[in-house]
Amino acid sequence: MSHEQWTGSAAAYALGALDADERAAFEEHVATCATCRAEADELRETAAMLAYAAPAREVPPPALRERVLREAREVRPIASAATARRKAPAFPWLAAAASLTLAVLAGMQFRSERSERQRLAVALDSVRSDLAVRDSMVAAFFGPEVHVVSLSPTGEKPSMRVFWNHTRNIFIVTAFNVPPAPQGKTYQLWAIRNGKAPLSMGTFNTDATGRATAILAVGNQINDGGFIDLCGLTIEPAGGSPQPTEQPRLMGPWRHTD
Amino acid sequence: MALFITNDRRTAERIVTAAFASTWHSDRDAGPAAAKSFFSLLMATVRTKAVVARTARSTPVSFDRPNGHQPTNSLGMAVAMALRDLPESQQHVLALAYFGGLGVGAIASELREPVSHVKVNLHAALGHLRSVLAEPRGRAQ
Repeated sequence: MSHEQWTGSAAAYALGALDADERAAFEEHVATCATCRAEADELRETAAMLAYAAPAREVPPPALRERVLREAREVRPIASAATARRKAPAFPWLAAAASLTLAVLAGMQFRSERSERQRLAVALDSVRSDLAVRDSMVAAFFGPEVHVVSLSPTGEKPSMRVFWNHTRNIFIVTAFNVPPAPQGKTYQLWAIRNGKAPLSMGTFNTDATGRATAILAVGNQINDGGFIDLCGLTIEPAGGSPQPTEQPRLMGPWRHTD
Repeated sequence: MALFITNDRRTAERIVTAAFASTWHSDRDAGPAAAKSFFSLLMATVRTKAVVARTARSTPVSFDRPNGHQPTNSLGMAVAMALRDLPESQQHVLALAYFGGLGVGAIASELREPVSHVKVNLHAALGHLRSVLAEPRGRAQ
């Protein structure tokens, strides 16, 4: 099998979608191929992030977190007990008991410290990930490839900006003093070109303070449609509408940042 | 994720509790790399247990989100956005493999496509997600 064919199986392997024979063959290959091993490791990390794509059907009950942590604290690995039994020397019972007690205490101390380190590492990694996403968002505001539009009611201070990053193919929406959409409604942005039907740029909502920062993917229709003249904001039923159902509440022309 | 796959709250809670405990006590070193692998291992364990629990069912799987259940954290938003970029065919195979727990052979049978085509779609889909999501995670290290 060629190297490209092995690489082609890496995603299926990372997703656990190879059958037993193929999986065994792939694992045999990656044992000697650093490139494919790195590819499989990276794709496995990516696959793990798909968990975030699962629809959140309901908020987990607060008690679940406590149960999970309690269970994790109570469970002791079977392997440790088995190892301890194998290593128990044939000393008199008192010495054996003392040794065992010391070993257990040392083990508990080690496990406790290791667990705390790991808990902090997990928390730190989570914070870093969030921070990195925000850094990435901030970085996407700048550069010659970025277009921007300011939307405002007539005669009033702009209360919303939409950045179009052509390199990352995203819109970044920032809104200030925009009241949250009513219950069951959402804000929807529209790309407006002269003589053509408006195209949806995506939906978002503001929080109770009237602020929002949202990332919206740029659809193919937007990319293929040429220069956009105006951008408009309407309130639509939750999930958005195929076409605007009201006159834009905010509107503004596109321009380059440079 | 466990609830989405199993569609049974009690089973989902049992799976999450057991998966966290087993992952927490698995042999790992400390540090950022271990934290990353902890997350991957935890998600993989939850997903595997959930898929096994629902094998008897044939609930269709997809990445579609019911109204009002959009992701609220930045990473969730990034993943959802990256998924929306994918062609529907790639979203479908990814959902069948990840949430459905189907192998490439089963997916190929379901979609009536060659296995090689399924593998290509999986690789293209996961590769795209990696390229879109890797940048911010990479900077975090």
